[in-house]
Amino acid sequence: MKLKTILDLPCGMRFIFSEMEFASSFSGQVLLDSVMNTTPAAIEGSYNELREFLSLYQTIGGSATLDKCRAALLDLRDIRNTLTALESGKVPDDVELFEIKNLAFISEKVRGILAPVNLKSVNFPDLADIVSLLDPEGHGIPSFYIYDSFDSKLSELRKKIRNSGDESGAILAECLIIEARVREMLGNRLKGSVFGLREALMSLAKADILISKSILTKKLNLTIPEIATGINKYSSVFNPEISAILSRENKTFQKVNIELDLNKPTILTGANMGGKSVVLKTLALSQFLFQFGFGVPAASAEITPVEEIHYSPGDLQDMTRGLSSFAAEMKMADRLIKNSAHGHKILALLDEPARTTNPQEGTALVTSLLNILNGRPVFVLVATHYNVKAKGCARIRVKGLEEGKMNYELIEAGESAPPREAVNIALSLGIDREWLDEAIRVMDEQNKE
Amino acid sequence: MPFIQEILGCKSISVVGLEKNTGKTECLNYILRRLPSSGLTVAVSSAGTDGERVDMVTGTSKPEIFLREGILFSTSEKYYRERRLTSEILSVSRKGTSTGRIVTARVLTGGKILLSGHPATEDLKKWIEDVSVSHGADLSIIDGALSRLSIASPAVTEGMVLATGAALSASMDTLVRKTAYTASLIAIPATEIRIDKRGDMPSKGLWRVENDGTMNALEHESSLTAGSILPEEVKGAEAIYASGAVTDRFLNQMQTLLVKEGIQLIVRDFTRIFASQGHFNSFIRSGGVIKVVNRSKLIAICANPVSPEGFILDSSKLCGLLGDATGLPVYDIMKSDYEA
Repeated sequence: MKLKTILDLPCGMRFIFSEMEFASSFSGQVLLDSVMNTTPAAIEGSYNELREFLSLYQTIGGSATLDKCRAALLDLRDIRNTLTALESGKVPDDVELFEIKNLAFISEKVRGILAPVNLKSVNFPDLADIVSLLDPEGHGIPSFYIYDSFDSKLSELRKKIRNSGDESGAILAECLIIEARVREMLGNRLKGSVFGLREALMSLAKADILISKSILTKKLNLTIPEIATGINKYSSVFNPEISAILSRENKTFQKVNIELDLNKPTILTGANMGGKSVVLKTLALSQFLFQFGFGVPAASAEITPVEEIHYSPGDLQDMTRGLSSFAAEMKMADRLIKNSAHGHKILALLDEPARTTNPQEGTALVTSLLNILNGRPVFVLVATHYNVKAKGCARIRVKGLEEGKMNYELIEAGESAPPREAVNIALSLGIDREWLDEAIRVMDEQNKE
Repeated sequence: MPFIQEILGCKSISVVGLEKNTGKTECLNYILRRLPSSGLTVAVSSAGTDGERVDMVTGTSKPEIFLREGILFSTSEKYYRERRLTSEILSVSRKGTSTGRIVTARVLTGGKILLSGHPATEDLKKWIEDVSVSHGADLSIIDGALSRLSIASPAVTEGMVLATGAALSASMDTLVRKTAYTASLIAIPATEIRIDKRGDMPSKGLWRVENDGTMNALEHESSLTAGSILPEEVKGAEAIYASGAVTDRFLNQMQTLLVKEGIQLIVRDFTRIFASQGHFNSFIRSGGVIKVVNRSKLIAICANPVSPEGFILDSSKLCGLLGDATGLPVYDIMKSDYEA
């Protein structure tokens, strides 16, 4: 799974991506094309790289070094097509030679800047030969043309044009023949260096990504989590996007603690407006961030790598495929059941599944789903208003209204029915009193029955 | 050549043709030939794709631009490859156009090239800034187009030279009248209201401009749907800013809506005005006030008496009439026997 495919899931990855400040937009493209890690070793590898850059970024001298790198990376361009063409034997034109020279210049510059800090996670090949090939007169600037010094005849002919003009165009034609020959020579000599150029290009993008991730980690207060097996445990987890919106309004996000066990589904209940959806959204985001080697939004966390992340935000409508929200949800649960039966390790976050159908059937569907998933290698968190009686599930709930104020804390809940707080919350919203009084009367009658 | 002195007083100028084959390219070549060859770094580009070797519409030959040593230019990759001069690449744009990315280079030995530049106004503006800041250009010249097909407005430059000629009309009267009308549009003064625009002016919709310079969107998508604006929506506004095209119909609607309330009509620049001369004059005569945000100073008019069909107008008569009608210096650059 590539990062770009999850960018528009409603879990907030787009916000994270938009907060990243890449020196070159090419690095952003490389990141979007990166594939999700699924093994502990791969995730550990990603985090070791991030740790190396992060610890450099946190020192004064180190952050100055990285700033210099970023300045050099501003001119980095995607020249993969040029390199492919060069490899296949196409004679490069001046624009392509300019691009190659520019890449070699940036790579040599960044290599020089990073040499004293000796980083393990990025490796820059020595491109000094390419720089001297494409800068034969040693000007030390990345501009390019077929220099006079490539061919002794060129300077002579060009001098002639400069001094006495070239009305017939004959001298220019002669120049063009020599220039074409020079380009062919350069193409042949550069062909052998394509591997190194490509390595340089990707290493520069990687360095840019790791610098951006380091800056993001500080900016959003992210943490590098522990890699766990069989448990997903977050303390003081927060949603970075909602947090940012709240802090603009001088409000703070109430951080919560949560723990999920593999093989044992968790049911999350609680009042409307109690932040259940935000918990699910944040856990989905955090798992993606973890598997793509980012810091996660929590004070500390232990996270287990999974192969698949199923996040159903509740109002899942796939209109492009003509599915109603119910159908889309059912399809997703179906995939979850089938894939988990094959032993795929999955994180499933379901926000009020089957909420659009009648409560009796809805409760049955959710209960049976949890019964089936129980014991499979799946982390399941289901937020629901239904009174689900599935066995062997962990139960947590939002603490709820306290003196008219919402406490978003997640606490253990018993087997009993979820507290009925909808009316109280509606009251706090200033909803019509007559209606709510009538609702209370109806509830009392139901309870008597 | 007095107008070269005026050009030297500007940081940027555009050369715009009223019609294809009015001699814009010759006019540009003429200016480039006469600019001092030392102590002044000149950069040249074009607003969008232009400059086919042979005109695609009429089949007449189009002169390429001759650039001498030291001049900076920007053109698209396709035309850069076809250049007939030696030049050093300084930078390559990120954004592409239909003929490739824009290459900025310095001429090492003079020769000919076709220009094709950024097709959008904002990019053109940025180009002027870039060549000046990054590459030290003292004067930027844009080969501009004045047609509805061109998105990029040449009004981003300080000064402007207008190329007109027999290609516009075979009748000298019509030619003079049309040219004078365009010249009068270019001369529309900039608004005195200090608009609080926070960056660039909005590119969509109709806006109320209050007397403190703040702007509020009117609930109308564009000047084309302005017919439904109610008088109370504009009441009390200092001006109305129309981001889109000002057509005959729009101008008529504004006439009834704005004139008696004393509300100004503001447009981005003169290229937004597509209204015919009759409607425009009627708006002005009824007391309407129209102003622009970006104004270019019209420096001179270059007239080309030769039409692509082959007939030739009397050069000195044409220049005289144009001069009388516009009050601007007019030159027949084909004659090129003016004092340098």
